[in-house]
Amino acid sequence: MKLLPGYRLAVAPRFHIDADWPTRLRLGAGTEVGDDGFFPRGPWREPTADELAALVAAPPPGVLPVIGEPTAVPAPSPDDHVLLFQIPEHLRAAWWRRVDAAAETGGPIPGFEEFAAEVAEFLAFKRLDTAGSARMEAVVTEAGARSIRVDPDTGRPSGLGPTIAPWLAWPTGDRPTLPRLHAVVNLADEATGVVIVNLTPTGLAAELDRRRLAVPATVGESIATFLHTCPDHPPLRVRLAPGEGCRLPAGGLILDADATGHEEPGVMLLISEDGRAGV
Amino acid sequence: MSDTATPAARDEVGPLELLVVQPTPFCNLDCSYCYLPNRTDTRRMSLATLDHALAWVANSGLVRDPFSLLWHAGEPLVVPVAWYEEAAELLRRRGEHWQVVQSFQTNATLIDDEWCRYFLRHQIDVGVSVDGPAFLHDRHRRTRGGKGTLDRVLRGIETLNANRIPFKVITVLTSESLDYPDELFDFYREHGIGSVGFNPEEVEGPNTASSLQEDGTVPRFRRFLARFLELARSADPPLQVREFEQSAAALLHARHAGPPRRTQENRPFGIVNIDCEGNFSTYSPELLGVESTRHGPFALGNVASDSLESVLASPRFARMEAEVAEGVRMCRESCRYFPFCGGGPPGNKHFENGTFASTETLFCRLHMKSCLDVTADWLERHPPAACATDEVAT
Repeated sequence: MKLLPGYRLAVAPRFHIDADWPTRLRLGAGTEVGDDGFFPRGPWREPTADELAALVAAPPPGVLPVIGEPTAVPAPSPDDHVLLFQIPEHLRAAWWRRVDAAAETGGPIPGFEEFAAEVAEFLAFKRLDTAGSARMEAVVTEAGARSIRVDPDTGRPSGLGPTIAPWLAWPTGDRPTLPRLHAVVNLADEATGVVIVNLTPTGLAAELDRRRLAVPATVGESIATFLHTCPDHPPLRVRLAPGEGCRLPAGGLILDADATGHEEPGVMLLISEDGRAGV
Repeated sequence: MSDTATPAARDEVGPLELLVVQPTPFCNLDCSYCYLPNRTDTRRMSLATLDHALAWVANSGLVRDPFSLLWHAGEPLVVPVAWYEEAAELLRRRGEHWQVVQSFQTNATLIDDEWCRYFLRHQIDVGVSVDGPAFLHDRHRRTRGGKGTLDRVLRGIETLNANRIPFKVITVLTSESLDYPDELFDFYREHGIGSVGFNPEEVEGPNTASSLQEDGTVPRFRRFLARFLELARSADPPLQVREFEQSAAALLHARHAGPPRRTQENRPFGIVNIDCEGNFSTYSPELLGVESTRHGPFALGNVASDSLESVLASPRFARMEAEVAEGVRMCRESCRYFPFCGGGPPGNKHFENGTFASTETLFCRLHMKSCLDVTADWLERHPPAACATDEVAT
């Protein structure tokens, strides 16, 4: 199955990251059912030129213009794109100092709220603001684990899921503020990957409609229906270097992350709005 | 001296606070925003000219207090160490009783162990010009062939660190820099930089436009500075930020002092600038080598032939000084920041407004007003118990 058009990736405005998309992006063969959910499956491959053009919003900003040179490409809209960003090294170091302090005492990580506030201040400066009700949590995943999402009832990996609340009525329409996962940040010292199915809600609905499937009642059902009926749709793996993160579009998409190939546990900072949503 | 009185005698000018000497106008780099008009000119100051210059300073009566001797206005390190060794000997002979601190402002690309030994031997203050990570620095600080220079600058910084030579950094802020305070902070920490000063990209000399002239710069600049200050002050040890220290000192001084006297830069012969041929000027160093339709060349004479008395008696200096003084008077009357500032730099007024007899410039809006506001705000939010006032008041 060919890659369906959907959200595109871009470097967030006011960040300077060498995106190197051909190296950063990998497309899987599809998804499979396992344990209690859907999981991406390989083999993983580099996107073709056409696929890359469909996945990446515009040439990465690269070199900024100087006076007299043409201005840069227009900034990508945060709600139409998955935006790559990076927290500064001093923030990631602050995280690990707290982890080290906790390791010495054997207690909880001290000052996590202050750390979360510092991250929020940084994102606010960069105008990647989280809502006032933003909640942050650090998820530690065992090295080699295939999902950072865990079914709270069984404790087993739950795989790909929506970044907006699965219990929301489908279709979601144009609700301006959905409870959702706002962003993920790799806090670990190793590169990691987030896996997304980059369809927009509109694209997802159109694909279900094209296949003449019954309209699902909730977001969770719509995703399950799609993944059941399109197991060959290629998921996209986005490599995140230490400190890098993705700002996720408000309309939501299908996402998971994993710690496969890691030597150390994965550590992902999840930034949600309106309480825990999605992951 | 009042704002507008014309100084008739040499005891009414100075004292000398800063002596800028140009060993060569040449620079091995070709930065996009450079204010130097002759940076491809490879002439070098002769030791005879330097000796004339030091004799001129000694005879001027301007040296009444300690002062700084800055080797700049070109890349000073393209002149070999041997020249500076002889210069140091001349300085020792001509200024036996002077309390003078020598400093170099350099792009650091030529620093090696030999230079470091020289810096240590003569207790030189070293200032390095570097604009942060490559995506900022290499945008503007390039070779004549258009290549970035950060790698070479960092090698120089590593050499300074390896030789345990303390140094300060000056970073030119352009419009794009204002989005990257955290990245700049990380850069300074990574490279062992403990003290930084921010120069906004200015309209000066051949640099006739600044990226900071665009709409919306002032709030962006304030946001940048507030963010950077918060990071710098909460670091362990804190990163010294020149703008914060100067603004805090100005704020604290203004509480205890009366009306400020004119500044080093707008007071006649508070600064003396001498080019490689011995031509000298006063006020802003950027004026040396430049001329205007009204004043002609801003160089007022040559150290080999023109005494300070003859310059003070010249109609050209009188016209120049009257215009500068009028500009200070206008600042005093129109600007509520004057008690903390003492009047804007004549160089910026000339290049931006076309006359010294004018007031606000981009430099005022950013480097003075914004820095004072951000610093005052920071001091209010961090009362003295949490803030080492002796540190900020230096």
